Amino acid sequence: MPSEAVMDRTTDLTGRALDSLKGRIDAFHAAVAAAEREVAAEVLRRTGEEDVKGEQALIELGPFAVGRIDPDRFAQLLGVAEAPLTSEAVDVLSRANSILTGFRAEPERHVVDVEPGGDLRDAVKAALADFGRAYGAARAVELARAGTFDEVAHGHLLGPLPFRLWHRAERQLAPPLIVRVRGEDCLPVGLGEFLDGNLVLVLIAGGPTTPAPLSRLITPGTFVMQTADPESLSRLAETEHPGVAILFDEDRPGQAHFVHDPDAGEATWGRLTVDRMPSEAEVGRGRRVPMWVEEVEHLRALAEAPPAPVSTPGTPSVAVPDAVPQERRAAATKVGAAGGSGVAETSPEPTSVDPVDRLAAWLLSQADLDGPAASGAPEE
Amino acid sequence: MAVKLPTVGDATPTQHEIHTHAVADKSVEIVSDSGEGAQKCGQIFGTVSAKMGNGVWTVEIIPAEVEPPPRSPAGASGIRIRLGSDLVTNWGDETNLVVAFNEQALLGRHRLNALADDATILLENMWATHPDDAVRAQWEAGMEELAGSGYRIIEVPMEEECLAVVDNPRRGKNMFVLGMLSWIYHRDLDLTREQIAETFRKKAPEVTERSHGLLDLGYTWASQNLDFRYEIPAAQSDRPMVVMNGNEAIAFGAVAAGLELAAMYPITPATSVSHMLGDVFETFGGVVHQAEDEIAAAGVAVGASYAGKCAFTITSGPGLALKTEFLGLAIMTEIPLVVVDVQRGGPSTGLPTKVEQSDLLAAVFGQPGDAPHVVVAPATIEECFHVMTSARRIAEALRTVVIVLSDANLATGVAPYPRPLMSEGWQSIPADQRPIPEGLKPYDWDPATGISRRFIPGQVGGEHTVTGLAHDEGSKVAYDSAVNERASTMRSRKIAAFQSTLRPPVVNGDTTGDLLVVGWGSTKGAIEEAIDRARGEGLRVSSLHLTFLSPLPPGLKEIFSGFTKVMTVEINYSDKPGDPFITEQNRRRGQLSWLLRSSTLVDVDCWTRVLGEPLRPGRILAAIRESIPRGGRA
Repeated sequence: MPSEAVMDRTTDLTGRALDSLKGRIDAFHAAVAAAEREVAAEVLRRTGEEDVKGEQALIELGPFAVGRIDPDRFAQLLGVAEAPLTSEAVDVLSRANSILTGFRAEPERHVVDVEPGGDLRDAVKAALADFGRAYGAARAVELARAGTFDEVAHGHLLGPLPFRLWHRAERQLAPPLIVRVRGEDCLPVGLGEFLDGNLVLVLIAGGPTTPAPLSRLITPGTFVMQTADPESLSRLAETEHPGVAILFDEDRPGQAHFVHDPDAGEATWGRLTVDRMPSEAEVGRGRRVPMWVEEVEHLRALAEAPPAPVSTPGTPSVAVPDAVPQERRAAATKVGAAGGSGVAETSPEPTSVDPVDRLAAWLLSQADLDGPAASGAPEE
Repeated sequence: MAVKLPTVGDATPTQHEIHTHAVADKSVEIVSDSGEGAQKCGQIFGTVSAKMGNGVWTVEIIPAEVEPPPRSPAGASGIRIRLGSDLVTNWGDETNLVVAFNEQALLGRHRLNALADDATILLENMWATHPDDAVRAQWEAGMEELAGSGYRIIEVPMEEECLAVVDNPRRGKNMFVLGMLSWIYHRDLDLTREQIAETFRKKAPEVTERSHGLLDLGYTWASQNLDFRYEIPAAQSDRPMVVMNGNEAIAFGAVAAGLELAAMYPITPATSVSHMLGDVFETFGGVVHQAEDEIAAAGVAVGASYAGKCAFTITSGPGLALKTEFLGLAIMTEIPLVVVDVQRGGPSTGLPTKVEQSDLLAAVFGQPGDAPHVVVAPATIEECFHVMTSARRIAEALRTVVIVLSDANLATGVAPYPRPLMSEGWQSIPADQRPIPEGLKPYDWDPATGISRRFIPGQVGGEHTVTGLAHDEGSKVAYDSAVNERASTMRSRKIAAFQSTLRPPVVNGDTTGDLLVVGWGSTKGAIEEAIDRARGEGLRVSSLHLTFLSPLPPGLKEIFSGFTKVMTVEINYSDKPGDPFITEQNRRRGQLSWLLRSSTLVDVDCWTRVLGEPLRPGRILAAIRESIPRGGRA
C-alpha cells in the first residue's frame, strides 16, 4: 500500500501531466464533439422538415453563399439527388451518437492505473481500445450515411476498437494517455506497437525502475524521454512524432535521464541528449542485474558520437558529415566520462562506433578500388 | 561567421528632431534584386501590422523571370504593403515610402509611376562608391534621372551597417530594413521578433538570432538617423483575426470544405496552394498529388471524384487550357469536380508572375461542345477561404464542374480577416453507397431540374459503363438521334435550376444613377474605393460586383436599367475606342462586358488595363470621371 505522501506526489504529477497534455486532450475531444454535432445535423438534414433542410443547406454551402444562394431553393434541388435515411441508418446514428456523447471532455478518462503486478502493455491496449470506440462510432456514422452499414460486418465498430485497427488519421489525432504504474511493473518494451501516428504516453513510475527502461524504444521517429521533471513534458506535448515518457516520482541516482528528439538531428547520437547516465555502481545497486547493465550500455552506445575521421594510409577513411557539430561530439564524450563505466571516452583507432559506418568502411576496404583514398595518396 | 548582436537599449539617444505624422493610410514599397529578401521582409512587416490591428493589403512585385539580371529596372523584385487604420481592400495608388536596395530597382518602379510625387526614398548608397566604374556610372545616371522628381531621397549605408552583424550583408539586409520600418511605423518589436522566429522556424536557430540582431540594428539606425515617423492608429477587431494570402486561404478552405484530394502540376502563381496543402492536408486525411503534367492532374482529380471522393485540381491559365479535355469528360459524365484557376497574364506563357483576369471566357466557354458548368470568383482573401466550401457543395449537388477563378493579386496578397468559425457542416458528405433501387439508372435526370443521383463504383445495382460519348439515362452510347438533344438539355437544365437558387446581387451605392461600374474577382476593393471617392466628388455612381459568372445571377437587366450607363472595370484586354481600325462592331471588349452584353442585351461598356499589376483606385476614378455621361454631377 503506497504511503499517503507517495499518493499525493503521484496525484500532483498526474495533474501536471494532464496540464502539459491539455492541448492534445482538447484536440481529441473537439474532434469527438464535432463528430457528435455532425451526426445530429445529418439526422436533421435527412429526416427533418423542409425549413430545417434549408438551414442545413446554408450551413453546408458555407458563409460564401450567404446572401448569394437561396438555401431553401437549394435544399429543394438536393431532394432530387439525395434519398432520406432508412430507419436502420437512423438507429446506427443514434447508437453512435450516444457513444460520442459519452466522450464529453473528461480529462480523467486519459489517466490509466496499472494494477500492482499488472501488465503495462495490456492496460494501455485496453485504454486505447476504449478510446477507439469514438473512432468506431465515427466510422459507423460514415457507413450509415453512405447507406452501407452492415450489422454483421460493421457492428464491432460500435464497441471498443483496438489500436491496431485505427487508421492513419485516427492515430494522428490519438488521445494521450497518462499511465500510473509501479516502478517494478514499468516494463515498457511492449509499448512499441502503440508508438505510431502522434500518440503520446506518459508513464508515471511510482518507486524505483530499471535504469533506462525506455532505451529500447528509441527509434529514429519516436520521441522518448526519461525525467523526474514534470516541466519537461512540454517537449513531449509539442512533438509531432509518437512519443513516450517516463516521469519518475522521485529523482533517484540509478535512473537515467535523457531525451531522444527525432527533430534534433539525423544520427541517433545527434538526437539523443543524456542528462544523466547512471554509473556502474548506481546501476548495480549492489546486485548486478545483466538486463539493467544492458539497458545502460545500449543507451550509452546510442548516445556516443563517432570520432573525428582520421585518414590512415592504406585504409579508407569514414567521413563524418560536416553537419555534425563539434559540441555534439564533446557532449558524447562527456557522457562517457560521467558514466564512468569503463567505456573508452575516445578511441585511439580511427574506427567509427556507428555500426553502419563500420560496415561501410569494411566493405570499402574489401573492394578492389584504385584511387587516392584506397592507395593512400593524398586527396585534393 | 561572427555574430555581433547590438541591443536597441544601448543605442545612443537621438539628438535630432523627429516628426511623427499621424495618418490613416500609408503604403510602403520594398524593392530589390531577386533573392535579396524584400518580399520576406514585407510579408513579416505586413503580418506584424495586421496582428497589431491595422488594415493591411500586400502586393508582391515579381519580375517576369526567376532570376533576372541584377541591378536592372525590369528585374525589380519586391512588395508593396498598404497599411490603414481601417480595413484595407486594395494596394492603393502611388506609394509614399520606398526602401530600395539599389537605384536600378528604384528606377523600375519610378518608370512605372508607382511612386507618389513626394515619396520618401530610403536608398542603399553602396553603389555610389562601388569599385566597378560601370556601376558607379549607372548610379550617377540613375540619380540624375530621379533628380527631376519631387522625391526626398535618403541614402542609407545598409550593407555597411549590416557588417556589424553578418559577414555577407546581402543575405541579411532585408532584416535591417525590417528594423528601419519597424521604427518608422512604431511596430511592436517583440511581435516582430516572434514573427521572424515563426518565419524561420525551419531554419537553424542562428538564422533567427542573426535576423533579430539585424532587426535591432536597423531599428537603432533609423532612430538615430531618420527624422520622420508615421503613426497609423489601429482599430483592434473584437473578433480574432487570421492573416494569410489568397493561396493559403484556398488551401485552408479546401481542408475546411472536406475536400480530400488535390491533384496539381506546378504552375505560377497557383503552386503555393499545393505547398500549403503539402504542409497540412495529410493531417486532415487529404492527399496532395503532384502529377506528371496538367492533363494527368485533371485526370487524377476526375478519377478520384468518380470513385466517390470530392477532388479538386489547381492550375493557372495555361494549365486550364491543357485540362480542357478532362473537364469536358467530367461535365459529360457528370462527375463533381472543383477546379481552381489562379489567373495570370497570358496567353501562352504570358506574364506568369503578373495579375490578369483574362481567363473568364475560357473558364465559361472553354470546353469544346456544349459543356455547361459553374464559374465563381472570390473577390477577397477571406472569400478565397470560404468559396471552397460552396464550390465543393455545388459540384456534388449538381454533379458538375465548378471553376473557381482566383488571380495573382489574391494569390500573393496578404490581408487579415476574421478567423472563420468552423462548422463540421462544411465537410463533405459521404457519397451515398446504398444499393441502387431497382430500375434507377445512372443518369435518371429529374425532368424538372436535370439533376440525377450520383452512382459510385461498387454500388450494388449501379453497374454501368462510364463513357464520354453521348449517352442516355442508362449511360448507353447514343444511337438514337434524340438522345444527345435530351442529355444536353438535362445538363443545361441543372445549371438553370441552380441559377434559380441565386439571389440578385446587391448594388454598392444607390440603385439608380449615371454610371454603374461592374466588376468581378480581386478588383472589388479598388473599384469600391474609387466609387466612394467618386461619390465624394458628387458623382452619381454605384458599383456591382459579381461572384457567380456562370450562371450569372438573376436580375442583372433590371439593375442595369436603373443607370444611364453601365461599364465593366477589368484586368483584361479591350480595344480602345478611337484606336486605328476599331469600330463599334469590331471592338474587342472586356471579357465580363462581353458576357453581360450577350446575356442582358444591354450596351455594357468597359474600361480595362493589362499592365501586369492590380488596378489602382485613382486610375479607376479617372476612368469614371471620363466615362460618366455629361451632366452627371449630382
